[in-house]
Amino acid sequence: MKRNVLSLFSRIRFFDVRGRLLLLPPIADASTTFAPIHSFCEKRSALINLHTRHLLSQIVSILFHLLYADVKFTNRNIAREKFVVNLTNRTENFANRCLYLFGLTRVTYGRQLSINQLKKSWSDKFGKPTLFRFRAVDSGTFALGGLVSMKAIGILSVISIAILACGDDESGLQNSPPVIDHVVLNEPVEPGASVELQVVAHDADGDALSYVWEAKEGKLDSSIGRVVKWTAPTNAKSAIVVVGVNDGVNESAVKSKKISINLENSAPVIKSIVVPD
Amino acid sequence: MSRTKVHAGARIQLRAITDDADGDTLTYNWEVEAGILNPENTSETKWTAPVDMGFTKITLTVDDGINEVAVKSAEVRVIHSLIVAGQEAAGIRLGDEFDRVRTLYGKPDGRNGDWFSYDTGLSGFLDGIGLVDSLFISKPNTAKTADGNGIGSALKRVDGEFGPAEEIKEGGKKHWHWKTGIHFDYDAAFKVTNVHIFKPIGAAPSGFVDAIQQQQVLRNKAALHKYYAEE
Repeated sequence: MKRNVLSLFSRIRFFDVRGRLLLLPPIADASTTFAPIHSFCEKRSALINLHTRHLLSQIVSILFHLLYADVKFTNRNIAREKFVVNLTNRTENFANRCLYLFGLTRVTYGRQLSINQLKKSWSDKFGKPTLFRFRAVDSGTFALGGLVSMKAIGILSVISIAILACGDDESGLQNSPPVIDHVVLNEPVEPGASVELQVVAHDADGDALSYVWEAKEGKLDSSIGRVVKWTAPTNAKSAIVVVGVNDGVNESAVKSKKISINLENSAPVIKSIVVPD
Repeated sequence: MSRTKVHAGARIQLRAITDDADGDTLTYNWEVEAGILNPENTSETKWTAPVDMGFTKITLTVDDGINEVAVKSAEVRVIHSLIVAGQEAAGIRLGDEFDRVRTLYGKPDGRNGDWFSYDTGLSGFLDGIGLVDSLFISKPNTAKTADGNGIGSALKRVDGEFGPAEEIKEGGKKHWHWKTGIHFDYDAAFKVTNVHIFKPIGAAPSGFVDAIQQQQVLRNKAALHKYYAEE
């Protein structure tokens, strides 16, 4: 899977327990730490360190906000894309009695991303990573946010947020084609009657599906849409309509449906073949 | 089971009698096992019967575009080809293009200028523009006239069909029917060995007079008497 450059911007803000913004965030060299990271997906991981060099004598909430801008995928096959966010507490002088609350409280990526788990508390064991996974469903801009509430007594707190395994994991390239279950209509159809044709299809990845209809016999009022109107021919006992369903990734699934038409018509009869002597 | 008989190489107009209760427009598809079909997807089509004798099948499929197609076959018996004085022999008409001869019989076994011949006992001359001018039927060809006269037929039967020859030559061996366009060669036993089809000539060719014919008849009288006596 190839991607275009992905830019990573980060912002970090500190709040007190009442949620008030600390005007002087106890953070040093934020600019260097949170410089945009380009093409991190190609490196397959990015490490962002939140350094808090100030002595924290009170409970401080750190709201970090990683903004991924312009995530563009040249391959649209990303429905199973997985980003693994690996959060590691590397706070030095870490006191056990300190409270850590960490969660990916808000992850947006165009629309809400699915998160496999929402960590309400973070491992207090030093250095043990806590994994959050979320799935990207489309290209676009998304943001990953987290909240760390901590009371640290020490001179240096480091929270590492590593983004690992961006993209290709074992299932990263897989996207299932849509499956057409059936074409629904009321049969038999009277000759010349206008009926509604409906296709029932599903897609394992939940991709948005598009529908295209084709009819050699009869007439479709529209060739696109999950439900279309079709006028039966007046001179046939059956007609075939074909519907294609596309998920924007795979080849279209195609199903043809033979529709019975309630036409009363007698078959021709060959009485004889005259071969003159 | 009686089957329709057709003459080998004959040009036949096939016709279908069909019915459709709804008056739908029907499409016709003719198929033949042998012979040449001029494909016309109508209720009538032209068919040239094969030159080989035997049985052959004609199949017609009729479709009204709605129902299952109707299919019917006719088995046809191909019998000996026809000899028509002044007109045709073995499926070839005087005036036909040589292409038709080739289509029916293939490449001639013998060819020399305007002359062509087949080992099946068909030969002929082409005119200056490649059209068949005259035809010869000889052994082993089975072509027969309307009355069934062909190679091996007796003079008496031939005369019964065509009347007395207008000119008899070579000691009674060559009997010309100028006005009907046919001439027969006979062997010593007065059996036909060769039939020659040509364009009828209204009068005898120059030099030919009825008197001569009479003389020739008289000259061969003895042989003819002998022949009729054996009947």
